[in-house]
Amino acid sequence: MKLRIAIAGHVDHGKSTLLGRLMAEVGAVSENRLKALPTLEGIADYAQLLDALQDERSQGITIDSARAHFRIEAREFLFLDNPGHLDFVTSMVSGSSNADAAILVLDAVSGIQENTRFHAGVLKLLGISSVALVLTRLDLVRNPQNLLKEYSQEVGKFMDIAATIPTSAYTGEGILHPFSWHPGKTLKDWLLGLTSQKVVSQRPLRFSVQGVEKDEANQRTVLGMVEEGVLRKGQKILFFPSGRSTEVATIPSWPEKDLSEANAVQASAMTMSDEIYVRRGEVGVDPEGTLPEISSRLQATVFWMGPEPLSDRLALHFRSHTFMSRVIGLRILGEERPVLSRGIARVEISLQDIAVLEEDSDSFLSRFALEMEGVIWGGGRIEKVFKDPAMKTLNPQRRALRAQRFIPSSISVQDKARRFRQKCGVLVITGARDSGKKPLAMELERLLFERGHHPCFFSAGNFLYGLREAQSRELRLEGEHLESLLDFLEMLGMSGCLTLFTIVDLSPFQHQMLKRRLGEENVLLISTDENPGASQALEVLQEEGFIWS
Amino acid sequence: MSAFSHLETASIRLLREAYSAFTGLVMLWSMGKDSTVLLYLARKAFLGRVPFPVLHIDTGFKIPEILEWRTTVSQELGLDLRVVMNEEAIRKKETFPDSGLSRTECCYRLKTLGLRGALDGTLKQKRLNLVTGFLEDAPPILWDAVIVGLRADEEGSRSKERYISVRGVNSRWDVAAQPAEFWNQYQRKIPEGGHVRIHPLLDWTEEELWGYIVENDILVSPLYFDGGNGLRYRSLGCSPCTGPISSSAKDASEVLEELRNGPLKSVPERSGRAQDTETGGLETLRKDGYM
Repeated sequence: MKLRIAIAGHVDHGKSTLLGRLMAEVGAVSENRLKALPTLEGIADYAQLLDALQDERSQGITIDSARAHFRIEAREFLFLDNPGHLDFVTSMVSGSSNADAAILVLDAVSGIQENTRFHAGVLKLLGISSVALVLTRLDLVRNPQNLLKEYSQEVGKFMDIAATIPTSAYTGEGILHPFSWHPGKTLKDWLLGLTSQKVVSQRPLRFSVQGVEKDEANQRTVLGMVEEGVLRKGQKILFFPSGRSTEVATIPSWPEKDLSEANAVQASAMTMSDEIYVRRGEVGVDPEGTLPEISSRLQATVFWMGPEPLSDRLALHFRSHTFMSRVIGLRILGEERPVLSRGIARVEISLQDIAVLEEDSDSFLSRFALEMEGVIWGGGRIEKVFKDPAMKTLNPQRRALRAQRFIPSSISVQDKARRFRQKCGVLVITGARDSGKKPLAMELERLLFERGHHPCFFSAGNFLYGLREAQSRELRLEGEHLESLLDFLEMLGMSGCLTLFTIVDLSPFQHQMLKRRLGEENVLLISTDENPGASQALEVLQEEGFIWS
Repeated sequence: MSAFSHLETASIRLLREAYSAFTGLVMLWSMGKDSTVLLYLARKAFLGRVPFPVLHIDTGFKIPEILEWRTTVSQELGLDLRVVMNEEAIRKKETFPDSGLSRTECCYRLKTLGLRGALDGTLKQKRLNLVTGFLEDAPPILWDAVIVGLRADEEGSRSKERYISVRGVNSRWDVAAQPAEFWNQYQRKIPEGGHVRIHPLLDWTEEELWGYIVENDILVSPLYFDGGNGLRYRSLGCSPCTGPISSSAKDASEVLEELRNGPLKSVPERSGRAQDTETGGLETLRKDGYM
């Protein structure tokens, strides 16, 4: 299999020249092309083999990644030569992201620079485990042995080095043949010793849904990618985060007939034995295998390359495989500076929707991109998933257990709704602190009661300070508390109440969780910011079908 | 597992991602080997059907056999084939070599402006009637996402493309300000007044492409093979600017052998395309929106 090698390092440290010289040395460049190269100080300007654009040639720097396919002995390689200038870091990341290994180039004369560190950090975040430190221009320094040791130690502090290789693109030493003073591995030796490391078929199944197609016969086919593991015909499959499950009926393929199984190097599709609702962004897993986490809060290390500093004021989206959600909270950890213009930082992120995530850095579910208005400006790796209430709410086992154990009333919710001419749902009255939520709720409760409905007033405070006996005013409706509140509101509904629930500034996440638990059609929102009266609220309830006469 | 599984899967993933991200999606088909392989990959991605229209930017100078082949294949695959031609430039003879225009200027008018006019609906669109085999006038569809079969190994400026590249107003390509893409996450935003280009074959080499054609028995234009006169085309362009090469390769596997071990081993693929040799030709063309 062809190996993809990314080349990174600070601007002007000789990345393109090194790669050009390697191409020339292994015979990947025709004689005519070599002869046509302009010379610099008497030797061919090898960098021009990669820097194909007029702008690059005239400025003498690489501005966008270039790909070079060639063989060394019988092995096939695809080299990605990346720009070292900070302005073109998006190109460096794009070029390096799916490499099997990388070369970090360091000019022995000018030493460790800003981008040496940044590129090393990005390579690590991109998950490239095998990185060689290649020193260039070693023909120009005194005491190369000492320098080699020094740089190796220094770079080793911020990166795992797979090999340290001294080279000179000028003399060609270290590329195919070693320096006389350094009998160790040459660049060629190191490259030929690499193996492609991505074995994902042994991992538990992760089938990422790209889309659902319907044919003329209304048969639905789920298009997706087996990112990890193996998808087998007839197996049970559980979709996260929805928690719906079915069996894999067929694995259709074209132009061949159906497959019995599919792995990560096959474009996949599946049909289902039950017509469950599956959508793009979900992940199909084996219910008996290791399950991923589902959550909307996580801690991660991110790299940021955006036009503005990273902060919670930016309208960001979180993207992982085919999933996308708005970022509703972002906090930069540890740093004294609260913002990050370009670089690497640890952050805590809250999402509007519930994502399928993994802490295991080998899993594709541990990595994500950050986009702003459709453009990608950063990415990151998850270090910690906060197990928030979403996990329990959506956990299919827990739901099943509840359905089994819960003893329902002998009068159904439907009968109660009919008797009281109302939905047994929740009207959320929300707005700023002291904006008149409770007076409105009380008056509305009275009006409803007098009309023969069955309202029930309940405030978030009643819950936090009453039922949960909270100690602190800082306590917020998240985590366990939110989970219990959802339980409680669900119970009130089952008992036949139309709940009037007041809460200060309901967050989008809380709203989403409410809708998810009680059903979208059973949750209605009234904001006191527009200062509605009780009779207006009554009209809204009628219009929305929450009460009838 | 085949030697091309990784390449194939990555291309299919990209096609599906583009299909889900962009509503105004169209695939360019020049009837060349690359875009013909793209058609095959699209069918593989969507289990036998091509779910978006296929567009041919006709220069009026295509080698005649290609147009017949275009109809046959479209009918066989049931393609929604659209054809756009910059008729005004052809009528005014603003083409090479008639009016003293260079090859590059001719490419610009017929292909760059042809594509631009197709995307913004200013050029007439025709649609192939699959029953009669004739082109009929059709109400124009506006497209802002174009699947193109180019490969990074074709020439230098193409090696700088993204899987999803962005083109601004007048199809301008700003190489120094290209979006980041990694972990199969690509730009979703279509720039104001511009479009995006999707490049599923970006990582393929000419040799891999022929290997894939052989392995999957993909039907490509017969012009790629020697019909008995010792000549064949390596790259299909317009007739005034594309010459055949001397070769006796009679089918795809002989072409592949020729590339691997024969005289073509170190000859660039586009050496038969004359416009590439004009000073700065291709790079300038491509910055203005050429494919």
